[in-house]
Amino acid sequence: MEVGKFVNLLRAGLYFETCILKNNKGLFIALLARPYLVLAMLHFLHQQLGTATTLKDLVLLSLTVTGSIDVLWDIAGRGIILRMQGTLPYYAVVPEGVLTSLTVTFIPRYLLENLFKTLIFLPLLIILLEPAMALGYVASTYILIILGLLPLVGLSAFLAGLALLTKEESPWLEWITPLILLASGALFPVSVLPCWLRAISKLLPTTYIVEASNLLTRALKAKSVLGSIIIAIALLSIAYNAVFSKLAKRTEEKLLARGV
Amino acid sequence: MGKIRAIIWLHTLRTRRYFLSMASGSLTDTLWIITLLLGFTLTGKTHLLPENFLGLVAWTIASNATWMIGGWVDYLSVLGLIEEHEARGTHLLLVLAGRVIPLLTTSAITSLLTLLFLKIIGLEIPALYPTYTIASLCILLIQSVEYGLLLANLALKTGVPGYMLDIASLAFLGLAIMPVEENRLRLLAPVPLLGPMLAAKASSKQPVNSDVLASLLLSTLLVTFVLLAASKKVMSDARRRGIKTIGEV
Repeated sequence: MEVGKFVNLLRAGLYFETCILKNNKGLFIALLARPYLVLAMLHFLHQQLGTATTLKDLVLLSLTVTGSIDVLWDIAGRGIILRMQGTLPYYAVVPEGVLTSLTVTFIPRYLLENLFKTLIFLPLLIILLEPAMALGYVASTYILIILGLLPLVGLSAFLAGLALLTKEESPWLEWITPLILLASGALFPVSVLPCWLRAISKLLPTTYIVEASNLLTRALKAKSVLGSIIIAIALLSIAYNAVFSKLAKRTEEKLLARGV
Repeated sequence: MGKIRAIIWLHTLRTRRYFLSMASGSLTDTLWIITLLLGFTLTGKTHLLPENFLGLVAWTIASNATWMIGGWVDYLSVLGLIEEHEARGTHLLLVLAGRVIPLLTTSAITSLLTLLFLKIIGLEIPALYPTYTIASLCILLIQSVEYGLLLANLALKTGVPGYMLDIASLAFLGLAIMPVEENRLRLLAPVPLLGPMLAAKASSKQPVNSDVLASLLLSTLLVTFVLLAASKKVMSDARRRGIKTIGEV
């Protein structure tokens, strides 16, 4: 895709997201409250399970959980909503293609919402850590969240295509979210899962994002870790996107042949 | 009485017609509950299963009330049925309160599916104090319906969809996992929705104290009072200036 067209899609997505947030103050408040609520859930869960996880670790985990898992649902979910509203055909006639448009216009939302979600933890992190360290932690977390999107781009486009192909509201999208959370090790360590689930977890890109977040929390002071994580996620992104972008393209061809 | 019978008929019929959609929602809730409960099983903390199971079942009641009652007003609005009911002298809140039928059906299916799954993997959830469990869940149901109706009122007044105004259902997913101790329960019992949710959890291992029950009843009365006052004001405004709900399918 040409850079100019890509930037245009990003601008369209940014305009859409800012309009949504400006006109829905309640949604904006809920958006800011959500990471703390997920943090509370993870805190109580880990407290009962007796794991040696600190509140600081859970902050990062809750951000990666709400960030990366949402990507999978949100892109496909937006496609379904657009179809229900009768505006999906407009996306279908965009020269870049329906799935590319859905995915690229989602990026500004992802970046903006996750920026707000990360910054909302800053006061808590300043209490838990020193201010300079808290700022460093927030910056590293945001970088990780941005990196976390990369391996999921192709997969999300493919899932959106599948959701639109299967017609109706595609409830299976809602069914897979808790299963992905479980298999990715976002709620409990992968080591406690049964063998067959551990095998599935190795195939999921979200597992590696959760692992990267764990690595980052364990070695916060070692700056080299961030470099290793960037390289690992970049390689992972190339591998996943090579496979899933081809699958997404084929799904889109079928989708356009059948009609959106 | 005729109106109430008609409302019950309406929601029973809709529950039957949309059963597959409800079963799908129940399956989603079941998967969330099982996912969270599996953590206790996989780490060998099966003794924590009963209280967390009850906490999560209670959460399904509270969270489903948000969108099944608070969110349903948008659907009525887009179909133009709010004015239709008002013109025929049927109070809108009564029509919305009838949504307790699909709400209970969904939570019942979720609970049964979860119990079935736990039984298949060889785990039992014993009911040690069923009277206290049922009493706590009944109070929770009343408060949840009232909360859903409050959100519906806010949606009518502000035009913001009820589900967007709701923070409680997500907050209470986290708090449904909270360990229940005697002191904490006593302290949190007056908090609407959270109080009965924690009381239901506590009833898995001990009887609920009479002072906790009294707090639950008092908070229910308080929510009822707030609901009635809000509803009176919103409906009177709506009759004079119309509703602000935009409505969506």
